[in-house]
Order: sequence, then structure tokens, then C-alpha cells
Amino acid sequence: MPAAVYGLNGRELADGRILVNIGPQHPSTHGVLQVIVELEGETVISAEPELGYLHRCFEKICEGWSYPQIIPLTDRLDYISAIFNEWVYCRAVESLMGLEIPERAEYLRVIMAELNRIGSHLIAVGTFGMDLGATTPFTWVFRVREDLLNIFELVTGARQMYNYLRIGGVKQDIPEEFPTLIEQFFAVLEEFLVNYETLLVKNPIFVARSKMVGVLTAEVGLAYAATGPFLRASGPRLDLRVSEPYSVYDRFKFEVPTGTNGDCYDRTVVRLAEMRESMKIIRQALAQMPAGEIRAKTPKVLKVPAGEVYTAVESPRGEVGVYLVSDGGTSPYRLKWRSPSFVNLSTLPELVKGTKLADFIAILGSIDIILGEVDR
Amino acid sequence: MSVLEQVRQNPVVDKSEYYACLEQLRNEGFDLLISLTAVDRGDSLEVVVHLARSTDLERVVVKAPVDSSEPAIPSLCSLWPAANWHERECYDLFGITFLGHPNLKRILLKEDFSGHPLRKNFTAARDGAAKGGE
Amino acid sequence: MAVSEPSQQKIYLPAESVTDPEIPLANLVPAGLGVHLKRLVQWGRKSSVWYLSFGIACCAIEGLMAAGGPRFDLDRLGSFFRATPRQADLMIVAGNVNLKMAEVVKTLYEQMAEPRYVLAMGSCACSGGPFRGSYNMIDGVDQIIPVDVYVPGCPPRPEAVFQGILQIQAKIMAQAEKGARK
Repeated sequence: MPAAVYGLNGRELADGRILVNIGPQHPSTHGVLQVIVELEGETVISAEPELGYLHRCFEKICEGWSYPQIIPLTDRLDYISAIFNEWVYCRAVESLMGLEIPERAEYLRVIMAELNRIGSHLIAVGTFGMDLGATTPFTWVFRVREDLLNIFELVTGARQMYNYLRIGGVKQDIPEEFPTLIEQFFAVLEEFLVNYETLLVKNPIFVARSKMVGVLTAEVGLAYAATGPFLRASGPRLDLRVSEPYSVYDRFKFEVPTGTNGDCYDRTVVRLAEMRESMKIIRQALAQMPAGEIRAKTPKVLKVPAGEVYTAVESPRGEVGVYLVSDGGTSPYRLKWRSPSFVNLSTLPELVKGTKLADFIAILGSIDIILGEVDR
Repeated sequence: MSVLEQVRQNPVVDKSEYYACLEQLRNEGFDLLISLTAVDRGDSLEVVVHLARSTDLERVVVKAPVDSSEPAIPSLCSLWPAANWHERECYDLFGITFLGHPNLKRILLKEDFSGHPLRKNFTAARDGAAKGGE
Repeated sequence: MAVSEPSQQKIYLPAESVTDPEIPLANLVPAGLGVHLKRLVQWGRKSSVWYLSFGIACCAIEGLMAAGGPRFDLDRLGSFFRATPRQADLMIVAGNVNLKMAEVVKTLYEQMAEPRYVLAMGSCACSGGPFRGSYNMIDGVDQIIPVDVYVPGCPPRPEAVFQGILQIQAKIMAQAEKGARK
């Protein structure tokens, strides 16, 4: 298919339509996604995503690796929100083993995950600004994100691939000065959010480019099983942290922001609001966190009892799930990764039908996909 | 006994009842097709469908074994559009044919890739392919 | 430096002579000055290593976005991202290349104008990384295109990418001397 499309690129089809190939090397595809777009003038008639440029054989590799070895590998799937991948994988293994997690470890997981959510949404809103032609938000988010990465580096030792969770707990405790650093970071983040809203969300150009662009109705979103802020911007209040509370999420008070129109504008606003909610959760978690162990006792050679389980957590992109089948050995018999980016991206052909080509880039950016997770 | 209770007790359904069973679950409000995948059980392949209800996030699993020599099963694209890409991925990695699928072709691997890598008997013949793009 | 007989000399335009490293500059300019001219050209090249904005995987966040962002600021080395390979001097291969991607990477490399340089960023681009040996992977991008500098790490820090670009700059300057000694 691609080879034939390269040949057809830019050529007129029979009825005056033009076939345009976008990607895999394109500044606005957020990775190595290829989309073959059929245009009539400026209007998109159809769009067909072509995946697989980052397929890394993750599921097959897992079948040969031991359970603890797989944790760092999951980091590389959704590489902007690595903690969530580790979390959902560890939860799957723990639930098959029937492992009790120390309470402090659960709080640490929540805190690091919510920090990671902030980091992920920062990139989402920053690159979305870039997709609309505004470079300033991009430089802003990377300035703020570096402050966040300092905290991550202090706790986990890494900037991006944290490898922080362990089966039964977490790697290490937070340092004493952690709450102070968090408050310092939150002050910077608050300022950023206010500035971003002033510069972009209230900006007439931004509004014109994103309001009622790429509208996802709730029906279409549910039919495609889209999840995360992408779906919530259309109305459904579907958030696993609330509707299926896992870990200690039932102990926190927070809102689930939703939108009404399901357009690019609402998605951005929902993501900005979610950052504020994450701050609330982290503050409550730090106040409630009990002292104690951070890791349950696990055997040196980890064997998981035979059985199967599906677990899911709410990642910044939606429901990330693991379907784990064990035959009682030291490595999974089958591990299926349900990635929200893959599912959310499958709505793209519906979303862009009839829009202008320039809006196509904005719509793609507003879905917020990570190709590492789409292709696995 | 409703289909839901039946599936709760024993998620494995016969290939011939697969579509009808899922259609009934669809009518009972399971509007989210969370995931569709397969597991290689040695002598057969098992198609595994995870469903959820958006109203209360009730979840249910349905499994259908198919013969691994010529695996084929009805497509769910007419019930859930979400099945489209999941089934293509399943076809790509397991080689299961989904009957009635509108666009059944490889989604992740190259069109000319030989074999279905998530099958247990798959061995990668990489030496010739390693210099890709030749 | 041996200067050939005037009758055998081919006349080159000055613009061509500085872009083609094979043309002896001594034919054009007085002996001794060619070295300086060559150094000047290479100094210009090294100070504006524009890289292709082509992030394949995880490393793109660190190597292209964070490194180009405000804290690390790759611009101060004269490096700036270009969206098209035609305008780029350097390709940072930030991620793993699989069989499907291989032909795209190769095409992009061929589209870049010479002199062109390749920086393999991260374990995957260097040698396959954690995915080495699996059914769809190319174990190291040097199997399909020539690589000038390897930056290991998973992912490497932006500072490591800086060091890699400084190595590319050193290589460009060394080429000036190499050409001059002929």
C-alpha cells in the first residue's frame, strides 16, 4: 500500500480529487503515523491511517521475559506517561498473585501517577498549540515540564523512563523535602495555567481554529469505545478513577471535568482542568499518606499462579488495560495491551470527514496519541 | 437464563453462537467493545472479547475457540465499529479471518510479512528480512 | 603542494569549488590560502548543523523536544530543526527502526543534501536496545544508513545529545584539515 501511495502522492484521481500522503515523517503527526488523505480542493473526503511504523513486538517479547523484567519494557509503550503503564501491568500481576499492597505504596503510586498525568497533559496542550501554529505554548510547557522532571529525577532517578513501580509496591520512598518541592512546582504550574488560558484559550484565533472543529459526538465516541479526556470532552463522565475506583482513589475528593461539544477546544479545556484536579489529588494524598512499608514481600523468583485477568487504569489518554494469561510459569503466557491511543485513533476517519486539511492537523493533535502505544 | 448469566458462568461459547451471543449482549446495553484479541492455546486459537457497559462499567468476557489450521469467525464490525481495528490487528498477528470484515488486511506489519508472529509456533526468519528496504 | 600545468587545469566557478570537496582549491586561489578558505567553509557548516525534525519513538521527547526546549536550548549550538530533509544537514535517528520504517529512513537519508551526517540516538538506534532480535526490528540503524556518531542511553539525556552534536562539529572541522592536506 504505502509504495503505491508514494507514487500517487499529489496526483489527481479520476474525479478531480487529490490523494495526499501525510507522514510518517511529518512535523505534526506526533510520531511516525502515516495518513493517506483524499482531498477535494481543501476538503477531506476520506482519511486512512496507516500504522505499524513503530511496531516493536512488545507482546511477543513479553512471552519470553520474566515478570519483573517486563516493567521497564512497559515504560516504552506510552513513553510520556510511563507510570501508568507500569501501574496497570503491576496491578495485573498482583491481582493474579493475590498480593496485598502496603498502603503507603498505594499513595506513592497515586502521587507519582498524578504528577505524570500533569506532565503528559502539559505536552498535549503544548504540542496542540504548535499544531495551530503557536510556538510559544510549546516553549512554555517545556520550561514547566523541566521543573516537574527534576522532581521525578529526585524520586525515581530518571527523567522519562521511570521504572519506579515494583510488583508489590514501589522502588523507593520520597525524600523529606518532597512536599516543599511539590508546592514550589505547583506555584509554577498555576502561573502557567493562568498564562496559557490568557494567551490561548481566550485567544480569538485559537477559538476560531478549535471551536466546533473535529466534533466527536458521544454516540460515535462510545461506539468506538474511545476513553479518556478525548471522550469526556463530548459529555460522558467515564473515568475509571471514579466509576471503578482502584487503589485508594475512593478516598479523594475531585471532579471529573467534562465538555459539551466534543470539539478540539473542549478537549484542551478538559485537559487543563484535569491538571488542576490532579493537583488537588496530590495535595490530599500527601496529607493523608500513612507511614510504613513501601513494598510487599515477594519471592526472589516470581511465579504467577495460572489464570487470567483484565485490569485497567485511567491514563492521561484513557483506559489502558492489560489482559494477562498465566500458565503458572515465570513469564506470561499471553499479554495483551489494550492501548487507549490505538482505540482513540480509530475514530480519526470519522472525525475528519468533510473538514478542511488545515483542521485535520488540529484534530489529529487534539486526540493526543502516542505512537509507541498505538503500534506497541 | 439470560445470555449475560450464561456468559458469566462459562465465557466460552461455540463459534456458531458467537455472533448471536454478542448481538444479545449488545442489546443488553454492552455498548463498549473494550478489546478483542486472541490467545494461542496450542491446538486451537481462542478469540477473547472484552465488553463493558458505559452506564455502570459492568464488564463481561466472551471467548470462542477457533481451529488453528484455518481460523475463521464472524466479524463484529456491524455491532461495534470499534471492532474494525482490533480485528485487523488480530488478523495480522494471529492470522484469524474475520468473515464480513470491510477491510481485512494487515495493520501493524508490512503487507509482505510472512507468518503471524503471536502464534506460539512462529519462528522469525529474520536474516533475509533484516536489511529491510532493500 | 603540486600545482598542475595551466594548460591542463580545468576552470571552476568559485561557488562550485567550495561545495565540492574533491576540487583542489589550490587551482583557484594562491597556494596557502585554500586551506583557510576551506576552514572558513567548514566553520560555517559546523556552526549551523540543522537537524531534521524526525522523532521516531521515545528518544524524540528527550533528544528533539526537550533538547530543543528552553532549558537545554539546542539553538545556541547553531542547531535548529527543519521539517524537510532537503534543508537538513543532520538526521537524529531518535528511536528504533523496524522493517516497515526502514525504507522510509533510507528515503529520508537519500533526500538530504550532502554533506549529511547521522546521529544514532539511544540504544535502539545504536544496536536494537531492549527490542533487539525480535521479529520486526532492525538491530541498529547502521544496518541501513551510515552513522557518524552513536549516543547510547535509554533514552540519553539531552546533555548526551549535545555531546553528540559537538562530536559531529568536531568531525566537520576535521574534514577541513583532511581536505587541505591532500
